[in-house]
Amino acid sequence: MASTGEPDRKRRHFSSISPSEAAAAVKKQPFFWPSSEDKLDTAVLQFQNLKLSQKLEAQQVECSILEDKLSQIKEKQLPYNSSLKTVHKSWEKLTASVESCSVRVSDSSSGAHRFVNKEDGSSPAVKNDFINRLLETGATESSSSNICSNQMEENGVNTSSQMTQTLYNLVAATEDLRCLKDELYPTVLRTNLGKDLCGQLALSELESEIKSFRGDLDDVLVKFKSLSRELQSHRDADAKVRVDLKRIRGELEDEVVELQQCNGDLSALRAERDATAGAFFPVLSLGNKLATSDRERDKQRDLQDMETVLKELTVLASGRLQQLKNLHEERTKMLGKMSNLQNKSKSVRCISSSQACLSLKDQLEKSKEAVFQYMALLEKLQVEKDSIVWKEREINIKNELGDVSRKTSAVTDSRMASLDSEIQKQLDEKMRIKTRLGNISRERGRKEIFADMKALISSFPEEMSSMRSQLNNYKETAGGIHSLRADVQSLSGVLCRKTKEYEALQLRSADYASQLGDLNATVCDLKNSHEELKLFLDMYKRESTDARDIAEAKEQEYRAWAHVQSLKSSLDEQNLELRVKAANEAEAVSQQMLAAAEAEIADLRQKMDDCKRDVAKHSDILKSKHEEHGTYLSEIQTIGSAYEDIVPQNQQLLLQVTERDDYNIKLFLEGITSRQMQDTLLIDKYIMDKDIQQGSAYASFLSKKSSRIEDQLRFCTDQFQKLAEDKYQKSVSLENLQKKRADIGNGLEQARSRLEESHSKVEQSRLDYGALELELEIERFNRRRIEEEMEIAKKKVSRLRSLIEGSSAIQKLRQELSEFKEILKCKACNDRPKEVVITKCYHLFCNPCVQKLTGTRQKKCPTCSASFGPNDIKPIYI
Amino acid sequence: MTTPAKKRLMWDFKRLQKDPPVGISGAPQDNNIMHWNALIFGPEDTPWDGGTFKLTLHFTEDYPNKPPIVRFVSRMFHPNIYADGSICLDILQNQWSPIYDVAAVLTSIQSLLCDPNPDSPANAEAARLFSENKREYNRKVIEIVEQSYV
Repeated sequence: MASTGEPDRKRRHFSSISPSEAAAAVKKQPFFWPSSEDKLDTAVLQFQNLKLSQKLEAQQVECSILEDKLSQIKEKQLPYNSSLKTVHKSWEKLTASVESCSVRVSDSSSGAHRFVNKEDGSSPAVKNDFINRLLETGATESSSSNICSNQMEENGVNTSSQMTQTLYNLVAATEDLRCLKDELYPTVLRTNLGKDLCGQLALSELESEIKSFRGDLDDVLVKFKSLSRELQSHRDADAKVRVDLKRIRGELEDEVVELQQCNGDLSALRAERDATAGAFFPVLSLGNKLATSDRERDKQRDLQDMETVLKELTVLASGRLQQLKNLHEERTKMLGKMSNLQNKSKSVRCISSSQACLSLKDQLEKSKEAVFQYMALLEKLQVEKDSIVWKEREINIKNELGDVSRKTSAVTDSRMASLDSEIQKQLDEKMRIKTRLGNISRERGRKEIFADMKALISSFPEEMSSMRSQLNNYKETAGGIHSLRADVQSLSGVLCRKTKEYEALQLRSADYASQLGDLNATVCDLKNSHEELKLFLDMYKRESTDARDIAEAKEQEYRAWAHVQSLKSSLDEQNLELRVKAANEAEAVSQQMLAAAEAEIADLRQKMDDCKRDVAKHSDILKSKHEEHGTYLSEIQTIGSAYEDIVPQNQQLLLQVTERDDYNIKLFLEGITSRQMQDTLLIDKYIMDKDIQQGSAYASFLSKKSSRIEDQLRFCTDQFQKLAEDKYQKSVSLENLQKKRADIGNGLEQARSRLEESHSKVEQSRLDYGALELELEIERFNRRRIEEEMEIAKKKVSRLRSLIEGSSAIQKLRQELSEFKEILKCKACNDRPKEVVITKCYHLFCNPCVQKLTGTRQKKCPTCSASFGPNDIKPIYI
Repeated sequence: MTTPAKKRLMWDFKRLQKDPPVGISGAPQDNNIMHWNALIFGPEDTPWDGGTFKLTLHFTEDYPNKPPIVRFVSRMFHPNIYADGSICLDILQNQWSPIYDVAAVLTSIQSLLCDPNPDSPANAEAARLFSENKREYNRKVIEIVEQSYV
C-alpha cells in the first residue's frame, strides 16, 4: 500500500503535468480489490474484470503520458545540447591553452617563463573551478528533468573523458617536452658556454620555475585523475540505473501482455455467460447454478487461478515499484550532483565572461604566440643542431674520404708509376712496331720501286765486278808489259855485259893473238935452234971422238941440259900455245856465242820491237781503257748522284707511303664504319626487301586474287552467258517439254490404260508365278531326295573302297618296310644297299663307297672316323 | 643325267624338306642341284640371336666323298670366318665324312657361330676380341646381326 503510494506522490512532485484523475481512480481501486475476494459471483468477477481492464487502460494511459514526457524532455534537452557544445568548445580552448602553456613551460627562455609560470600557477585552480562549476551547472540545468540530467551527465562524462584524454595527451606532451628539454639542455648549455654568467643564472631560475610548474602540473594531474574516477563511478551508476529502467520497462510490457490475455479470457467468459444467461439475466444465477454447476466450478477454478496470478503479479509489481523507488532516489542524488556541476560550470562561465578571464585569455593567446615563437626557435635550433650534426658527420666522412682518397692516391700513384713504366714499355713496343710497320709498309708499299732499285743496285755491282775484272785483266796485261819491259831492260843489261865481255874477250884474244904471235915466233926460233942444235950435234958427232967426244958430249950434255931447260921453257911456251889454242877455241866459241848472242840480241831486239809495239798497243788500249774507266767512273758517279737523288725521293715516297698508310687506315676505319653502315643498311635493305617481297607477294597474291576474281568474273560471265543460253535453251526445252508433257499426258492416259492392262497381266503372271513356285518346291524336294541318295551312294563307295584297299596295318607295314629299306641303305651314298662291313667298328657301307675310301690316304670310317685297313673290310650278305 | 652326287643331293634336299633342323633352311639354286643357297638363323640366347646369314654351297661330282665349298654371302664377324666368307671348319676340310649331308653341314656351321675355335683364327681381330674383350666382340656381333637384317 505505502509502496505504491510513494512513487505516485513522487511522480506528482516531479512532473509538472500531473496524471489524469482517471488514472488516480484506477490507482485507488486496487485498495478495495482484496475485500471483494470472498465473493464468488459472476457479478463480482465481472466487476473484477472491469476493474482490471480499467487498470490496464490506466496503465496504458500512464505509459503514453510517460512517453509524451520523454519527448518533451528531449525537446527541452536540445538547447542544453547547444549550451553543452559551447561549453565543450570553451573547454577545448582551455585545454589547448593549457597545452600551449605546458609546451611553453618547457621552453628555455627566461623572460617569458616567469609570466608563464604565473599563469600556470593560476591555471590548475581555474581548471578545477571550471570543472566543478560545469558539473554544478549541469546539475542545476538538468534538475528540471531526469532524462535530461542523465543526458547531461552523459555529456559531462563524455567531456570529462575528452578532458582526461586531452590531459593525458598534455601529460604525454609535457613528458615529451621534458625529455626534449633534457636533451636540449646540454646542447643549450654548450651553445651558451660562450655567453654570460647572467644567462646561466637566468637558466637556473628558469629551471627552478620549471620545477615548480612541474609540481603544479602534477597536482593538476592528480586532481584530474580523481575527478575522472568520480566521473567513472557516476557513469557506472548511471549505466546501472539505465539497465534497471530497461528491465522494468520490459516487465511492464510483460504485465500489459498478461493483462491483455486476462482481458481476452474475460471477454471469452463474458461471451459464454451471455450465451448461457441469454435474456433471462435476473434469474441467471440460480439457473446457472443448477444447470451449469460444473461450468461454474471450472470458472471459479479459473478465477482462482487468475487471482493467484494476479496476486503474484501484484507482488512483482510491488517489488518493481520498490526498485523503481530506489532508482529514483539514486537518480535524485545524481541529479543533485549534476546540479552542483552545472552550478560550477555556470560559475566557470561567469569567470570566463569576467574581465580577469578575458585578460587571462589575452595573456593565454599572447603566451600561445610566444610559445609558438619559442617552438619555432626550438625547431630552428633543432634544425641547426641537426645541420651541425650533419656537418660534423659530413666532415668526418670527408676526413675518412680524404684518408681513403689519400690511400687511394698513394695506391694510384704507385699504380701510375707502374702504369707509366708500362706505358713506356708499350710506347717502346709501339715504336718498335711502328718501325717494323714502316719497314713492312716500305717493303709492301713500294716493293716494285724497291725491286727496280735493287735490281739496279744489284746490277751495279755486277757491272762493277765486270769492269773490275776487265781492269784486273788490263792490270795483268800492264803487269805483263812491265815484266816485258823489265825483261827488255835485263836483256839490254845482259847485252851490254855481253858486249863488254866481248870487248874484254876481244882484248884478251888480241892479247892471246899477240902472245900467239910471240909464241909462234919463239917456236920458230926454237925450231931454228933445234935445227942448229941438230947440226951442232952432227958436227959434234963428227968432230968429237972419245975424249974430246966426252968433253964434247959433256958439253953437249950441258948444252942439252940447257936445251932441255930451254925446251922446258919452250914446253911451257907450248902450253901457252895450247892455251892460245884453247883461247882461240874459246875465242871461236865466244865468237860463236857472240854470234849466237848477236842473233839472240837480234831476236831480242826484234822481240823488243814487238814488245815495244805491243807496249804501244797495250798503252793505247790502256789509254782507251783508262778513258773507258773514266767514262765508267763518271757514269758511276752520275749513277751515285742519281742514287743520292733517288734516296730523298725514296724517303719522300716513304713518307707518302706512311701518309697513304694513315689515309688507308682512316679509309679502313671509314670503310669499317661504312661497312657497319652498309650492314645496317643491308639489314634495312633486307628488311625492306622482305617488306617488298612481302608487299610483292601480297601484291602478287592480290594480283592473283584479282586475276582469280577476274577469272571467276569471266567464269561467272561465261556461266551467266551459259546460263542465259541455258535459260534460252531451257525455255525452248521447256516449251518442248510442255509440248512433250502434253504428249506425255496423252501417252499417260494411254499408259494408264496399258497399266491397267498390265495390271491384269501381272495378276495373271502372279498366278503363273504361284504355280511355278509350287513346281519349284516340288523340284527342290526331288533334288534333296536325290542328294540324300547321293550321300548314301558315296558312303557305299567309300565303304567299298576301304574294303578294296584293305586295312591300315598294310600302310604301317609299308612304312616300316621303307624305314627298313632306309636302314639297309648305305649311309654314305644313301643310294646303294649295305654290302660290306668294317670289322674294326662294325659299321656297314656299300662296296663302292668303301672302295673309294680305301682309295684315299686316310682310311677312316665315315660314321665313327675309326681308321681301318683294307683287310678290315668284309663282305656281308643281308 | 643323274649322277650319284646329284642323287645324293636330291635325297639330302628331300630330307631337309621333310625334317628341317631348327634355324636352318636350304634349297638348290634354279636348275642346278649342285649349287645351293642356304639361310642360317642366329642361335637363340646368343649374341647371334635374330641374325639371318646367307650362304652358298657348291658341290662337286665327288660329293659325298668330297666336302662342298661353303661360303657366307652375308658379311660376318667371326674368328673362323674369312673376310671373303669362306669358313675354316674341320669337317669341311680334312674331317669330312661321306655320311655328312647338307643339314649336318649347316647345323655344324650354325653351332660354329656361337662356339668359335680361336686357336685357328681366320679373322684375327675377331679372334683377339673373342679371347680378350668379349664385350666388344658381342657388340660387333650384334652390329653384324643388325646389318644382316638389311
